[in-house]
Formats: sequence, C-alpha cells, structure tokens
Amino acid sequence: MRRRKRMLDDLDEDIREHIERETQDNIDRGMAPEEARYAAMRKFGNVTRVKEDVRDVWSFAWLEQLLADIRFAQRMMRKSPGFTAVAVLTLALGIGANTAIFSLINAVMLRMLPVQNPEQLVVLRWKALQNPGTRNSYYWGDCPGDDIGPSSCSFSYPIYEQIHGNRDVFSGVFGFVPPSGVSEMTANGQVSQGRGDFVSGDFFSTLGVEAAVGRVLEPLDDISGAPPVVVISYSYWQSRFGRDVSVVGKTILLNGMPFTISGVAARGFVGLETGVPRQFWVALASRYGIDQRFPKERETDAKSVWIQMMARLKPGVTSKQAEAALSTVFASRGTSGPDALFKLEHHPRIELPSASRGFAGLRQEFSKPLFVLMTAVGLILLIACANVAGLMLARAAAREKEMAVRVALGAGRRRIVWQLLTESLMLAVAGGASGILFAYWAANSLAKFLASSSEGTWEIDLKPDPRVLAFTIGISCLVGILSGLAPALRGSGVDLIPALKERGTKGKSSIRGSERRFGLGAALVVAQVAVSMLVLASAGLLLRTLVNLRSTKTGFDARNILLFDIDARLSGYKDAKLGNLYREVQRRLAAVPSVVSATYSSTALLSGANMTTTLRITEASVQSRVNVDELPVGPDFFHTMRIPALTGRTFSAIDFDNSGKPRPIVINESFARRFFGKEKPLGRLLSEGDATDPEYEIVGVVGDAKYDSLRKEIVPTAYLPMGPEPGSFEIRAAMDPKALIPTVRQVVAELDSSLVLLNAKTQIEQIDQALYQERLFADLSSLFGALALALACIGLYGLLSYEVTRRTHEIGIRMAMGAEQRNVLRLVISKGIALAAFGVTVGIVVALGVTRYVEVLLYGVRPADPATLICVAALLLAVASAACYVPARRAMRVDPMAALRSE
Amino acid sequence: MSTKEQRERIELLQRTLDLLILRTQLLGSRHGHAIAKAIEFNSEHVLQVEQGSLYPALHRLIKRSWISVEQGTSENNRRAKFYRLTPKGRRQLEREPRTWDKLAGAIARILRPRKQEGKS
Repeated sequence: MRRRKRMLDDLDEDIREHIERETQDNIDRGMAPEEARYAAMRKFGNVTRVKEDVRDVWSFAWLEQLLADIRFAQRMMRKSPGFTAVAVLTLALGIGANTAIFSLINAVMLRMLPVQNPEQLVVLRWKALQNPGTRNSYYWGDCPGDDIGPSSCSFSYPIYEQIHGNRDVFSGVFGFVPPSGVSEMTANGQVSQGRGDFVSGDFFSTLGVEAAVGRVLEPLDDISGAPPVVVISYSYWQSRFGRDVSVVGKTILLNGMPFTISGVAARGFVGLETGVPRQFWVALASRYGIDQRFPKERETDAKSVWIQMMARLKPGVTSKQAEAALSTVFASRGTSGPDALFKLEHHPRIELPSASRGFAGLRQEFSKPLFVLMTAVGLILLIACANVAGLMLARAAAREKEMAVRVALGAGRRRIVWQLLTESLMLAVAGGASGILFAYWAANSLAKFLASSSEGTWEIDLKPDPRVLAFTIGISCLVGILSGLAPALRGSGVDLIPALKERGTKGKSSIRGSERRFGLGAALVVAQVAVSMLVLASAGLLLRTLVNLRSTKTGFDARNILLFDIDARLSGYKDAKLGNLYREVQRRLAAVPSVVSATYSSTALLSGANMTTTLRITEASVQSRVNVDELPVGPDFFHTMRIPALTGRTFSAIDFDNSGKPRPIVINESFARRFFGKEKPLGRLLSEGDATDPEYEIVGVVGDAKYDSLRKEIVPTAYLPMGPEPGSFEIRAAMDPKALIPTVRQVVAELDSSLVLLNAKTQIEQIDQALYQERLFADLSSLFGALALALACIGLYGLLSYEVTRRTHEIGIRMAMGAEQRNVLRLVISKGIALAAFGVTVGIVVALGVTRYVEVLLYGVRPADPATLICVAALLLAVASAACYVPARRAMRVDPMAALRSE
Repeated sequence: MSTKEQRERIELLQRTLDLLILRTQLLGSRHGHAIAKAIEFNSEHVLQVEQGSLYPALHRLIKRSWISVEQGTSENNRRAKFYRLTPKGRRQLEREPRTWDKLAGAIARILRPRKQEGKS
C-alpha cells in the first residue's frame, strides 16, 4: 500500500523528468526549444492515459474507478431528474411485477416442507388398468403424479396396516386423512374455523416435526379408546392463547367434541398442503364424531378405500426400488381373497411420487396461472428494458460531445463502456429497490385476491427469503446490462473529430451517426410494440374467455338466487331428525312473502363439487353400466332453479317420505339421449353399483343444466330425492337476494337458535367465485396489457421526440421551402405509425405462433381468433397514433426562421 | 472489432515490452528515459513505442519484483530514478527461453509488416 502511494506520488515528476530529457536530446540534435519540447511530448504520448494505466497497475484501481463511476452516475441521475424518474419508474414496474409473481411462485411452488430431510418423503399411490371394485371410496383430489389411467392415493385399511409395518424400504410410514372441510374450534369459549388432519400416531415422528411446547402425537394416542388429544399449530397457539405455555392439558372443542391439548407443533409447520394451513392434528382413532366419511364399521372393510399414506425412504433406497418392492406386496394383497379390489391382469402397482414440497394444494390450482403470469411479466420487463435502452440511446445523442471529450482526454473504449454501464446499472438498482417495495405490496394484494376469491382460508406465506432477494438482484443486474449495453457500445464508438468540431448535431457525419442511432432506437420501439401486441392479444383472449364463460348457457336461472348452508350436525341433528329439519326450514322459507320458492340440494350448483355414481340399466340391450353425475335434491328444486321439466314429472313431497324401492329418479336430457336414444326412458329401472335389485325408477326428464363447473360439458346426470344428509339451501327471491339474509336468519333461528347460517351468498357470487381464476387472468392480463401498451407508447413518444429535435433544422428548411404544417405533421406521424404498424405485424405473427400455449385457459375462443387480434391491433395503433401526435405537433410548430438562424 | 482479439494483442504487446525492458537492464541500472532510448536503439529505431507506455510497464515489473528502483543522480547531476534487474527478474529472463523465443517470434511477426511497409 505504502509503496503504491510513493510510486504514484513520484510519477508526475518522473514523467516531467522524462520529457525534459527528451527535449534536451532534441535540442542537442539541433531543434528549436519550442519545437523540441513539442516533439518530446508527442513522442511520449498521452500523459493522462499513461498515468491512468500506471494507476491501473497498482491493483485497487478498478475499485476506485467503480466508485468514481458511481459518483458520476449519481450526478448524472440528479442532473436530469425527468429522465431518471421515467427510467427508474419503468424499471421499478418491470422488476417489481417480476419480483411479485416470483415471490408467489416461490411460496407456492418452490419451497420445501419445513420438516427433516424433505427430499426423502414420498406419497403412496396405486395405479392399475381398471378401477377397483370398491364398496366405499373417498378420493382426495390432491394426489401427485400423472392422470393417465385409473390411479389414486386412497387405500383400504387392511392394505394400510400391511404397508404401515413395512420397514424394508421405508424408515417410516404414516397414514392420514385430510379434512373434508373446515371444523369449528372452540377455545376459551371463542369459536373459530380451522382445518385439521387426522393422522396415525407416527405422523410427527416420521416427518421429524417436534413440539414447540408439550408433546406431539404418539402411537399410543392412535389406539381405539385412547383419550382424545389434539396437537395445535403454532400460529393457532399464538393467535388464540397468546403463546401461553400452560396451554398443555387444556381442553378445546372440535366440532363440539372435547379434546385435550397435548402440545403445539413446531413453529412454521402448518401441514402438508401448500397454501392450506392446518390448525390442529388429531389421531385417526379419535376422529369419529368430528370428521368421518362412512360408518366406522365400514372403514376396516377391504373394499373401502379412504386412507392416504406418506413415507420416508430409507437412506440408500431409491424410489424405484421401493416401488418394485411395494408393488409386489400390493398386487398380492389387493388381488387375493373374496374381497379383492383388483384382478391380477389389471396389473395393480404402487408409485411413489416425491412429497418433498408437500401436497400440491394451491400449487395444483395455481401452477399454470403463475407460469402464465410469470411469462407476461417477463415480457413486460423486456419492454421496460427496451424502453430504458431507447431513452438512454436518445440521451447518448446529447452526450456525444461529452464522450468525444473523454476519448480525447485519453479514455479507453472499455473504460467508457464501463462508465455507461455503471449508469444503467445504477438506474436498474434504483428501479430494483423501488421495485421490491412495489412487489411487496403487489404480491400481498394478489395473495389476498387469490385467497378471497376462492373458498376456505388460503394462506400464502410471502415472507421474503434469500431466493426472492437473489432473484430480484439477479434480474436488476440483468436489466441494467440489457438496457445499458447497446447505448454503451454505441456511445463509446463515437467519431472523435466531427463530434468535437461540429457543435450539436448539424454535421453530415454526425447525422449519419444519429441515423444509425435512430435505426437502433426504431428497432427497440418495434420490439416494444410487438411484445405489447403479444401481451394485449393474450389479454384479449382471456377477457373473451371470461365473457364467454359468464354468458355460457347454464340451463338454470342464476338470478335472484340466495345460497346458504346450515351445518346442523354441529347442533346434534342426525338421521331422520336432520332430514326433518331440512324439510321444515324449506317449508318455512317458502312461506316467506318475498320468497318465490325454496329448496335444498346436496351441494349448490357451480360450487366446484360434484358426486358421481355408477348405475346399471336393467334390461338394457347395449351398455348396461354407466358412470353418471348424481345430485341429491330437495323438494321444489327444479322449479326453484328453473330447470325445465321435459317429460314425466319431477319430485313431489311424497317422494321424500317414501323409503320404499325403487326410488324415483329424474334424469337430464343428455342422460336420456345417450343411454336410451329414441327409447322412452320413463319407467326404466336402474340399479346402483354391483347390486342387482332395482334401486331407482326413472320418473322424469329435465333439461340439461351445468352442475359443478361452467367449463365442463354437461354430462349425463341423475337427480335423486335427498335423504337425511347435510346440504345447501337455494332460495329464489322476489327481491334482491342479499336483502333476504336477515329474514332467513330469523326463520332459521326461530326453529332452533343454535343453528348458524353459513356461507350465505347469491348464486351469481357463487359463479364469480367459481370463475375466480378466469377473472384473475382477465384482470391481471388486462393490467399487464395496459402497462405494456403504456411503456411501448412512451418508447415511441421518446423516439419521435428525439427524431423531431434531430431534424428541427431539416423541418425548418422544408417549411421555408413551402411545406405546409399538415405535411410536416404527416411526415412525423407517418414515421411513427409505420414503426407501430411494423411492430404490430411482428406481434401478430408471434402471437399466432405462441397463443396456443394459453389454449387450455381459453373457453369458446380459438387461440388465433381473428376478431381479437384485429381489435387489439386497432387499439394499439390508435394509442400509438396518439403518442405520435404530441411530437408531431411540436414539429409542426417549428419556426422556420428560428430553426435556420440557429445554424 | 473483436474485443477478445484486441485483448490478446494488448497482452502480447505488454509482455513484449516487459521483456524488452528486462533485457535492456541486463547490462546495468538505467533511468526511464535511458531505457526508452535503449529500446529504440537496440531495435534499430524500428520499434517506435510511445515512450509513455514504458511507465505502466515499469510499474508492472516493479510490482512483480522483477526490477527494483532506487533514487540516484544521473550523469549530469540530476536527480533520477534508476531501475535495476532483481535476481528474480534475472531468473525470469533465464528460466523461460521458450517464452522468450515465442515472444521474439511474436515481435518478429509484429515488426515484419512494419518493415515491409517501410521498404515499399
């Protein structure tokens, strides 16, 4: 360090000394002193550069240079606040939008389960060539793996018992059942809703999750007759008990049943399903009464499949080996005995998809949307880069002289490129920093929107983590280089002599230089327009999808319908008493003056839930076994929903009291057409599953109506009289359905004050909820489209402004020679529109190629829909013309005298 | 235009210059101007390097400890810095005859077009 300083201090003197010696030599050779000195200096070369090079030799030079560059870049940013603001804002939007979407992707798709060695975890899933012959089945939707052929993650209890003991390939296996819905949790007299998993006793030990307080569930808790205990989640403990450690041993009610708190799960562990946190865990053996799918005695039946399994592979065992080992066990057990689920020729086997990131949960629903959104924001970022590059390019014109001076003073090209890159990197860093704030806000509101427009309590943990931070820093640097490289290379390659000699931009050679620059700027603008055309086209398609879905024929009248649930099981209603309650509520509501009619059904229409059943048409000629959708409904259902009866009759009061067989069944038009063709369906008998006794008799045919989803084509559907089971009420109101809620609440409370109204909403709101993904797409892609359009227009505006400034002189001459104002206006606007039109054309070509990737998201519109493309192109050109108009008007107002005088 | 090529060429020139400087000092310590003159003279005035570029090279060699520097007085009693080959620098010159040859070849390649230019 000291040597470096001494060497540098002496350098000036050394150089002076050297030049003096050379001068002396020259004088000795007979030159005049003046000339001798000049020759010596010429021979020595560029003093500044030599000094800089020497300084470079002494290492830390690059750091000093960087600091100097940063200081200079800061000065430049302060000097032109307008430019800086636009550039930083543009980049902040681009980087922020990307960070926002990435942090969602990170939270939903990339994070591993917070358990020990999550990469060892696998889910058990069977696959076969034919569906198993089950008696009872519960399939949880969230089963990882491909969807080819019959497969599921639900197993029968006997098979679970056999695999549970397997320690050949697994170091641990646990069984669990996810909740069928939310449960009511009562702690300290306060009621809240929560979800819990029902798990085998080795759940926590297999996962390697410990208790923050107390103890986790143990195998002894999962034996029949064990005292019911519950493990609560850390966040539930925090919110309900204020992290009171004396909580262990206290009692909470789960759906009215008392459970003793044994402990609190480790902080951060909220279950296995992404985005759907659990508040409690209860042993499988003590779950009866809170959540069960079929009667307890049927659970151990070999033909009832319902339990899920997750396992930890032994170290050194690959999932392929484990799959082979388990498939042998599974095939022999599943195909033997009188209660065999599979036939051997159907090749039942086990697959072990990885569970390192838990069950899909939100991921399943959001992976596609998030990647589409990520692509959209990526495109926006590209536009932002092109935009800032364009701005910097235009500014480089104004700084041509500065660059020439730098080169003349001995700055190397690399040095100048570095300095210009430092400037763009500084802009990008400023953009990134403000982008993070924007992203934090955007990601949170997006997560809130996602959670609010879907059912239940979804939670996305958006706490910033190193990966998101690295992502933001990474893209900021990338953006800095992307947007700065072209201007930097262009700016450093300045023509020295003309730039210095000729002031401003009026020289011939410098016009050639700026012509080149205009060419690059024009290319950037074309690219921006093309990309925004692409984003807008996608937005257009997604908007049309939403409109199409909203206007799709549902087959029923969704207006003026109020939906609500009462979960009467919480208040102790069971069996016949439950059925009577539903009938009574229905009767009383129908009697309310402002109610047209009232009914109930197992689930509300378009709620996303559906039931299916296998029916056999007795005495059928061709196809006897049919898979159909089924919906148990209450009295007056078809009348209330305005689903037209086509032939026969619908259900009457007597159908709900009569339990004799065959029970009446109403089918939809598709059912009749598909399975009976021209034959008359009325009076035909159907049996259910494998049974041979006729279970149902068809009494009527109604019009086709959508059941669980708007997108799904209407399939053959059977409606049957609903027995004593919980469901949703539907009320057709003669007024605003929402205004009916207090009346409904009152009617229900009069019957039983302990009954609570749940999920009251209109059918229209229900449809909105079902369409939330489409709405999300339409809203966000429109937002992004608008952003892209605005950025592209700023780019176009900037380029034309620069062009007008550059050609002021030429325009002055044209006007002096008699060009009229409108000619000048046309000159500028036509250039802008030509660029925009070219960009639009490129955009359309690209759109035709890539919109098919969003085809799965579309409904009722083709990816290459000409109407959408034309509308979007027209919109883009219209807005682009507006952006051209401002600089064009400035050109029009050029005063020829002033322009010429400035020569 | 290619930056890589440019970098290689700069590096080659630097190393050539470094070795030329080292060689001129085999005969004893000299000050900066004298080294420049010696290079010019030894190459029969063919190598017209800008004299200034000598200095970064000198500093580079000092940093590598191939030459040392000392204050002294020159022939006409002026204060001057004298650069002297260190044992390490001498070893460097001796140890790498092949590099030397390669560089000599490179110098030849660089110089040849100039010579031809001069003749024509």
